[in-house]
Amino acid sequence: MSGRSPAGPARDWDVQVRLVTVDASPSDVEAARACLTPAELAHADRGVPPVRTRRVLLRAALRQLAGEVLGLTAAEVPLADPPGRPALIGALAGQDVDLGCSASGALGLVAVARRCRMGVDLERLTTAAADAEDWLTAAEQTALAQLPADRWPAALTRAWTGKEAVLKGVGTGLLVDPRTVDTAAAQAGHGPAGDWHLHPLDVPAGWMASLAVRPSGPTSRAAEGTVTLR
Amino acid sequence: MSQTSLRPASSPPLPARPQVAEFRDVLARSTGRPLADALALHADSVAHLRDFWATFLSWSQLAWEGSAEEVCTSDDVESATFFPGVRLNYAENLLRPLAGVDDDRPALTALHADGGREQWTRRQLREAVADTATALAVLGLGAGGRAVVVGTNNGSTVIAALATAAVGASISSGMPDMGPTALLGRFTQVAPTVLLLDRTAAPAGWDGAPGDVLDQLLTGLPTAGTLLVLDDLPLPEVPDRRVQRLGDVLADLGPGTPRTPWPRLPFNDPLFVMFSSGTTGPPKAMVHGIGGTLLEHVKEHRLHGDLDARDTLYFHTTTAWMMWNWQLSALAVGARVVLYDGPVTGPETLWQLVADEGVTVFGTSPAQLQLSQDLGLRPGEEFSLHRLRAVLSTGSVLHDWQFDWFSEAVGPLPLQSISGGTDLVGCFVLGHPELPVVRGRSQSLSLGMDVAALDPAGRPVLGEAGELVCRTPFPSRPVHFLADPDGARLHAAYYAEHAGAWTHGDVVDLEADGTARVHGRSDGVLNIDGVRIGPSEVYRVLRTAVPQVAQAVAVEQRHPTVPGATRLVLLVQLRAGVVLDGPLERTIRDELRRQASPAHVPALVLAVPAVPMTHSGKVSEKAARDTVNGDRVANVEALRNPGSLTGITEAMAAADARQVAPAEPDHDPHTAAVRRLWRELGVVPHEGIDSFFDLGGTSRQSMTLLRRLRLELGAGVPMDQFLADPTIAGLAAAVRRAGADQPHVVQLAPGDPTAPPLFLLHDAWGDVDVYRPLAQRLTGVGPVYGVRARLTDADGRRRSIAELAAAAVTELSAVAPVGPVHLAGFSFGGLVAFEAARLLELQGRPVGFLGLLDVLPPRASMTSVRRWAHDLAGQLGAVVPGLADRPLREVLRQRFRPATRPVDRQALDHSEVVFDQHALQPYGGPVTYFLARRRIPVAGNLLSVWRAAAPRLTVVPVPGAHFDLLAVRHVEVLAARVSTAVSASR
Repeated sequence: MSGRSPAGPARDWDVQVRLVTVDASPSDVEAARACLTPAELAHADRGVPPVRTRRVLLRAALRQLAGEVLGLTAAEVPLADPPGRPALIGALAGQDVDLGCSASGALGLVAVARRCRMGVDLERLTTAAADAEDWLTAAEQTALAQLPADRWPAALTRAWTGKEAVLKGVGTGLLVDPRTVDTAAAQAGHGPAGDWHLHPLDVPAGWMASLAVRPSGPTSRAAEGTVTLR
Repeated sequence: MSQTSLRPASSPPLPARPQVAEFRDVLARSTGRPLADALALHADSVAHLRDFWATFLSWSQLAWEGSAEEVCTSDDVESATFFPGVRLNYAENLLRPLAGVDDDRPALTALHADGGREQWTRRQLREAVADTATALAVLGLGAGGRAVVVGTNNGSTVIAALATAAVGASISSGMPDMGPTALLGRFTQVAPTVLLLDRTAAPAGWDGAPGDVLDQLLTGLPTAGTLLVLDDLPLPEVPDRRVQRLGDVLADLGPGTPRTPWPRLPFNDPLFVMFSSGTTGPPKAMVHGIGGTLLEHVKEHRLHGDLDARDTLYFHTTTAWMMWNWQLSALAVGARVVLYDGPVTGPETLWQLVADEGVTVFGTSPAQLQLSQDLGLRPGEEFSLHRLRAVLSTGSVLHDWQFDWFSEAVGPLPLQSISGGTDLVGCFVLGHPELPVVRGRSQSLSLGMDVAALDPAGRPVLGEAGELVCRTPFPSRPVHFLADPDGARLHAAYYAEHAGAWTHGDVVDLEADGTARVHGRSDGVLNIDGVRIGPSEVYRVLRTAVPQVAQAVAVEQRHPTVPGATRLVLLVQLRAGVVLDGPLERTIRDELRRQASPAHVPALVLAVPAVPMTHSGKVSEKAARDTVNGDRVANVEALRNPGSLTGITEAMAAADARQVAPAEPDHDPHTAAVRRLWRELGVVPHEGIDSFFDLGGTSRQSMTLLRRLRLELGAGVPMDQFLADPTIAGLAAAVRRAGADQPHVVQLAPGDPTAPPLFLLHDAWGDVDVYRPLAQRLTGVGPVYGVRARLTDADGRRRSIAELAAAAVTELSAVAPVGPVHLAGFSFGGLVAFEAARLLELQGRPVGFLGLLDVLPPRASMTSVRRWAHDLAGQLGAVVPGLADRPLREVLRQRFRPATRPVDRQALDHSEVVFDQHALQPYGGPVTYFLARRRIPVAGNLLSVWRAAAPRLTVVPVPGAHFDLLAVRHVEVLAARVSTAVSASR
């Protein structure tokens, strides 16, 4: 899936995205562990088995995708130790390459971006609305109430993934109140949220995913870039 | 119910009786059976359904030809076919000239977000449809063809759909923002030859660029040889398809081009292909017939809704929902239909639309009504609704208290709860013009439909909830499903569960007075955390890929630790000699994940000796589900092997014992409470792991956790504190700190440490979260703090404003003992800030900046004249919610705390009293008053009260209304204004 604007100069930024199953067989997990650093393994092993598996598979997939973009093997990609926002270190740190990942249930998503700052969030569709008043802005709440009931799970999940994507892009995560991110201007996940631009990602039915992008250089429109699902 | 709305002088006089009464007389006369009232009519319509439908067809004077001799080919709900000898055209019936209906009066009004408005008279609409139909015919679409329209709820989409129906083709519709996956999930099955596209109000991605939505859609629809663009945007360039603009095709039709005729087709030929919001597999594609749809809709509009040519109908819907099709059929009775494709920024949008357009019948949802209620809206007073005569509601449960609010805040007109489904493109329960509205219920069963509630044994019951079935055939059943050559899917969808009945999949209770209440879904489709899964999909995979499983049952279990959530449990009966070990369980999960989807992977797989079976050899999913949930199984005698239930219970118990760690007693109540909340979220420390996220807790759950701590324990723990130590012990310690008796000062933004600190005073609940968005955007200010408060003293008595202000001064002085300080507050907090500033001034401490964010003066401070003016302003009724004076609570309330919980409401009531009792005393320092722009005109009165107390008052207007002043949408501007004002004060 990609979105390219028809006119304008050569693309300013691009994001490669890959879906990952994080509910895999032991042999897959063993293979994935092999390309992680000791610090990454230690972080993964601090979790209970499902969390351990998820962290290993997601991290390995991120390394794999980053490696493909940078021309390295998965194990060679120089990443800062977890926990925290995934980041390249060393010589590659200044290359304007940004990383992101997210998982929910049995599915995960990794992303590698160039010439922009980005965040991604993947979430399973959920019907739980009771807690939503805590993190929806006023505009989002009224927009939600106008929709027919069968669209609420999708709309709520879409709003949450948009906010998390921006907050992960910013780097603070939930340390910053999600109500500071207003996704009401984004139509079906596509549109501005403050300095960021949100893009919906096409994921299997039962999940929603959003990508937030803030281009590095000066651009006339936030929409000049490509998103590729590999 | 009487029609009390004003009507234009030119319309015919009101009839004395609703149309259903007239129809009842006609039916009684023609059959010789007396029909005294509404209930008698319904009973007769199901006992003698052929008489009912035949009489209705003729009484309604719909346009058709052929023979109506054979009304219904059998009495079997599944196989009966209606009116096989009748031929008709849907569009003709909607648009033909009607006797007594002015052809040159508006029939369709399309409203747009920018205020634009397009309107067609009946004649103009008919001509537009005729022209478009001709264009479609030129492009090769004709009777039996299939088209898809993607567009929003506007005039072009309606005309396109009606034109498709006019030429005799079938139409499916969808919204441009549905995304390629959802659109293709629907339309691939349809295999349309023509795709009609209206991109006005659509998001980006419809240019046909490689990989964009349009490109993906066309790739997935290889049969769509023609793309007909309905809008004026640049034509997409797509290879291999004929792309035309409707406007161009119409222009090319010369003036003398004959209009294509609208064929009358067999009653059961396809009209609409519609889709279930289904399981994780592709949605069911249901084909609805021309006659069945038309007859059902006209029946509902005329007999149940009493809709006629004097009515204007607005139903809030999208093109992806059956109410879109339903509303169009209202054209057949000569009514005017209003469309709106713009965003809804608040409940006022729709009430304003209803008022502006003179809507007589308004269709909405329980959520929109609840939002109106929560915001303190009084639509009956605030909008001109004198033409409105009925409000319909559907989509979810309409609660009793909503009926009460409606009659009080909207007016003495019927609120009709309706429910049905896309499966019947109509309603099983709905309103009735002759019956009273019963609180919490739908007024009547649908005429001609023998709706019943069945208990688990299959017996019809009254007064208790049961499975909703219909025992008579009805014309609007789907004629078939797509991708279902032998009809097996159609059979399984509705006719398999109870012989001789259509099982709808809803739970309903019926009363003898004919009223009904639908409680929700009941069907075999499992709802696992919001994702719908068909158990048959699970069984199919197991049958083909896991031969060791002899029998299986997939059920939905109420999550043992996460309230409100559900999880998938799979019970397997294994072949002789097979044991459920790790590898087999992994195989089961792997195969389900690969061949079905990750959502089909069960949370729990259990081996059981036997699965429950009925005497007829069917697996009883209900008995299995009830046993897994620990509920009583209602009809054990219906099982061939009741002992199987014990086996399931034992297997569940064994599984529980393996999973749950023994609970340690907590001596400290905070720790126990935190542990309980974690457990309810499904996060339980074990194997030596104690961090929330290491245990599988998600970031969204962390929000829920902190919210529940705040609401249930009164402890506001900020996220950064939780993340610093996300363990039970760490959180319990944070809870203890937050619950301290002293008011708590929390830093909201770092600010410039050399500038005076800015203290923001708490809201009507004592919290400061409402200021976070503002605090984070202020520039050129000192460190920003929020001053929280305990609103009650040790005896539970509410503290006065003066006491709260004194406590706040003590607290902020501890943080900033010397030097100038700045204060500000919104609403309740503003009054506390004003009093705190006064106290500081008396102490000799200068307050360089005092910001009042749209603070009403307390009533006690107003002279009687001012009070009268203030009350009057409330009654004049702002269009803006939250400013009605009578409920000051509405003014104090913030959007973030709708105060729906009793404890929140109570707090607000007390704060209202405390607020209003305060007597303003003079303050000589500078005050900046930030005045919300969207205010009632009598604002001058409010400011004069403040000026009397604070002569050095400056007013700065800011965007928004009172209740959303601090909302993210407006907070940028507010922050800029406040920052400017603070800088100017230095």
